[in-house]
Amino acid sequence: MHKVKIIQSAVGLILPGLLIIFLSDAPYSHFSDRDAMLKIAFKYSGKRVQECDEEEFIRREAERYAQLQKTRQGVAMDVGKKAGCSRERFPIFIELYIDGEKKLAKHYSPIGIQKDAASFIYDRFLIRPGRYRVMMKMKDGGPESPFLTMDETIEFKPGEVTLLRFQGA
Amino acid sequence: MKKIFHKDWSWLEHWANRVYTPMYNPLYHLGAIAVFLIWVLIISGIYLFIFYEISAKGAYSSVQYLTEDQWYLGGAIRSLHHYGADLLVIATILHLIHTFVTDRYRYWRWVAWVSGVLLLWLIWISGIFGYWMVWDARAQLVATLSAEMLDKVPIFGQPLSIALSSNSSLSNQFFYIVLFIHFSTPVVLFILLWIHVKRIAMARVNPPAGLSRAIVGFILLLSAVKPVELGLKADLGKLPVNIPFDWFYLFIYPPLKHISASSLWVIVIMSSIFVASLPWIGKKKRFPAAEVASLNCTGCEQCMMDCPYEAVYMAPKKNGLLEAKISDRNCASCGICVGACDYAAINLPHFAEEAMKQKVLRLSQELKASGMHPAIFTFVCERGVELKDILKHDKEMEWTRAISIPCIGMLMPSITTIPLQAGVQGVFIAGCQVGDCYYRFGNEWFAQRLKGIRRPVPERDFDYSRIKLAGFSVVEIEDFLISLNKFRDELGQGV
Repeated sequence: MHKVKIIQSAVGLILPGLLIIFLSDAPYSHFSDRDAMLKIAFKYSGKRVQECDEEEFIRREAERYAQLQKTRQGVAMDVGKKAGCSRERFPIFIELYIDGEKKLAKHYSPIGIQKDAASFIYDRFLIRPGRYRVMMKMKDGGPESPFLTMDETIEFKPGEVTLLRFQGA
Repeated sequence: MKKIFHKDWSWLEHWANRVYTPMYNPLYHLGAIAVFLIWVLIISGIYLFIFYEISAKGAYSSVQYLTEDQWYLGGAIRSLHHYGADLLVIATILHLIHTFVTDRYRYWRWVAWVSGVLLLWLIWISGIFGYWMVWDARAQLVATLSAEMLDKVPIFGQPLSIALSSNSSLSNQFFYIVLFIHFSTPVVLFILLWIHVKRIAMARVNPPAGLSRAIVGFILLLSAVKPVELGLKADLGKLPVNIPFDWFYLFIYPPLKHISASSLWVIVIMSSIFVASLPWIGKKKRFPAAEVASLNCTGCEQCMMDCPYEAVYMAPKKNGLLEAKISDRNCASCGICVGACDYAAINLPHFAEEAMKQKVLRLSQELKASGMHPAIFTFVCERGVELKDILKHDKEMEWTRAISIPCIGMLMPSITTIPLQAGVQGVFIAGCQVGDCYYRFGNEWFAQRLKGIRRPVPERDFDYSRIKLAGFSVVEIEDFLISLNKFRDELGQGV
């Protein structure tokens, strides 16, 4: 009876044991080693949506303060508003062409509550290995601004990741 | 459908009882096993951390040192940590399944259920970040895919994927953050565990010592049979392919091959909300809470001590003495407090003690009048064997009458003597299977009352030879009938 219980206990452990051994280490491939990957990853600050000369504003405010101080008491400078200048920046617009075929056309918004910080550009593509003409076009100043372009021929090797950044980023 | 799953689960428990005995049946201690495994992971994790280097260059090499150079100890502990984590997921999911199929997640138990769903996610998150720390090819894949998921969450500023775009962009700070998350999740885990057991009196968070030793032995055996290996070092310039995948923790990533990260978030969140809302879906009518007859209450506190869900508390009366009060939201309407009270001061509105006693007396008198000998009166817990299954055998069992009660913890020894005083030869009390009382302590508290070590105690002339207490699950009707007939035979020989 004791032997039977030991065997039954052992059998009872075999199933969870096998389950753990196989499922904790089963080989998996999310990507194929026959593929290559192109990553676009960089940070870039778009132009200000509203240009305003903050230095000029501060200078004018200082002059006003100096004038008012001659005739009044309790006058204070107010540079906090900065003439209602918005700090918002344009999103970065990216177009990506691989051998003339458009692969990406996307806006990347600036981060920050007031959308005044940089934009972070990230995307990835799986490609068949080989040599391709890769052209990336970027607008950083809104739809009316000109494209900044980079144009390269890149050799994509199997199992490798190629990182593309805009020059100056 | 759930009844079918309940029966299937009960058959599994039935088999495990035969092999391990109810006391050591791991299926009765799943929650405690999970807590024990968390301790195993913390202790083994502390050892691994001593050697871990928190840097982009040092993370992999430090784990490599443990796995290859210190294989006899560090490598063994690493395997213990790995397999312990996998067993933790199994124990937690089985615990969730057991709780669901046995209908132990509604009403007063909703806090435990909802916190349990959060606990499961916290375990997975901790495990996923644990894999990041190794910084091998598997970690690279997990980190890359996790970063793409996290980038969809609008609370973060800089996308994590940028930091993981190349080997040169990876900073040591990244590993400090990963380590912090992996270390801090156990802290949050214990806070959630406290919430998880808050409405449960005397929560059992430790499995029996023998079972704990067996679990450690089991994990060490796995570690010896298949020690955990180390994959290739992470290289963000290469695609991670054909990597060893831990499906217990990383099951969430393969769908990203076919759907977007945003869609996966929607699936994860909606399914978690659905599972967490199960206590309110298909809700049946809840029985009313127990009521206290203030005039009878002596403030002895036995009901408070016996209540499995901390639904009874003591409050001062006008004369300064204490009386019992019921927290309706915590009350399970099990009646264990009724069985604890020797002063008839507490009662279940839907199953009054006095009405039960009257019914027991009437059925006992009916049994006596039938002339069957030996005759046995049976109390059956409505969560154990079903009375209708017993009544199927009615013609063969004219020598017994049975009453189904919410929990045998509702009984006190004096009630069991009513049939004996009415002329019945024996009383058979069938509770839930030992170790798996639906209301946690019903069969245990009643057994202690019978032994005289828990109030109310039997009278001095209590005849123990005519009382039989046993436990059966919902599928153990055959065992119940065998045990009942055996008791009848024993009584027949004794008379």
